Amino acid sequence: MQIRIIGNYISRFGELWTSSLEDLISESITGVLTDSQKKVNLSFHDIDAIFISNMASGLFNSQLHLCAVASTYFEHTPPAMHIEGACASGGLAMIAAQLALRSGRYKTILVVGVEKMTDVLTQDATGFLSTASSYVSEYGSTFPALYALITQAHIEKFGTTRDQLSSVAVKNHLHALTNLNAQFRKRISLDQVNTSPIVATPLRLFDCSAVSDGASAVILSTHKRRKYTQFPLLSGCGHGQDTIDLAHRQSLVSFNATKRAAAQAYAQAEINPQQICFAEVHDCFTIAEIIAIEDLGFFKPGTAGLGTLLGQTTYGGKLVINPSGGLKACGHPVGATGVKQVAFLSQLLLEKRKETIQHALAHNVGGSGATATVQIVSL
Amino acid sequence: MSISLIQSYRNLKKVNTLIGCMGRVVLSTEIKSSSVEHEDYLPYCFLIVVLDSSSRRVEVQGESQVLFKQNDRVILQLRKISQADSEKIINYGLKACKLA
Repeated sequence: MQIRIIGNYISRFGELWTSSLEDLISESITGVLTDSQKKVNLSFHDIDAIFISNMASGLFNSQLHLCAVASTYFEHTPPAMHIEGACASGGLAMIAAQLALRSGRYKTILVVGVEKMTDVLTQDATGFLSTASSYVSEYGSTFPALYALITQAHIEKFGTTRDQLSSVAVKNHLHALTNLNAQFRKRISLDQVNTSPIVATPLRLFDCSAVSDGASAVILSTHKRRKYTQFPLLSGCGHGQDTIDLAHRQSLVSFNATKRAAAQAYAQAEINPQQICFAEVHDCFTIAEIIAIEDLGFFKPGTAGLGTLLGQTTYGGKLVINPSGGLKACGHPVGATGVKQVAFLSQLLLEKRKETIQHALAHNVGGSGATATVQIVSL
Repeated sequence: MSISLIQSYRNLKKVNTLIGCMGRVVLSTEIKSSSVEHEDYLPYCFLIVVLDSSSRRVEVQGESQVLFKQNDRVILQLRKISQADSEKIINYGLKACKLA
């Protein structure tokens, strides 16, 4: 069974003061259906089911039951499910949608990701996001603090340097310059990252992704209609899990969840990491990108930092990591991220279509590496 | 932060198993920006500590405004994490304190 991405939409990411949570859901549904109508003449009634990803609208916006909110936009109110897995909510919604399609129950599914985070103070947002860590075992921590501990471990084991960490942020901001929907379309220098304020040692402000508003959507279909065959395939997916707290992990310099998810996705797509041209990876912090591209098999352990500093993860290098600007510069509206990665790669492959098949990879992480999903998009 | 008696009881079950345990700092980060709940402690360290008794690893806040380094010896002690609320419940958690 082949699953094709027949429509995609990404809203602008950033502080969207004039848009509510409902506005963002509405915008993404209208946007993706308009795109699919243009591409394959799809209509509202063709949607069999909706999967909506969101982490914390109950805390940020006092609104839960988003499955019903999303379905309300359709006259035939299709069945909908709300998926939550912290920052991996979007990736999990993508996986759930694919499993539902492969079950044969549905033929066409709308996946929406959304988060509205900027209506609260930063300290409150920090508190809400920390509900994705273990309340009991990690009380008092923040996400920057947990990733700071991971950074310390990586530095200790591999000698990862400040410039290597900073080069991730510099490169992702450079990529975001060409992304009209990105939150930060501004070039930054190594010096700016290196001298930005400390958040949790050794992580600095410019090592961290910001809170953001945004929504994204894709439409997936298993229909065998001829005009669908020109659109990208979801050729593989994987989902890995690890302990919620860091203290019980086997390693802090690598995420087992990512490795497991990647192994499943590569096996299903019948490809290897060297065949990936573009990858959207979960760079919530600069160290997260370095670890991700090692765990995904693009670089050997301990070498991704240097590879990034030497330009191997941008255009003209080994492969392009985070062409959208990633979470760091495109923005990280938590529930929207995993869906946005697939939507962005789908559009990118359509724009850069070649005669030979090209593969792109989306990697989404929840918590401090406890949940990971990998999707492979091929055209 | 208001907390119910039953929540306080459950929290103390974990605290009871760890209070007085000694260990060594494996990793430490100094937090400069936190959630509102922990702002009064800033700056504080967040640690991974390996316990002497069982080699078990735990994550714990360090004593407020004290810098911890790798291999520092610590003891886990009670920390008051909320004032008495209307039901006069005071909630306690853990903090790591340096051993001389």
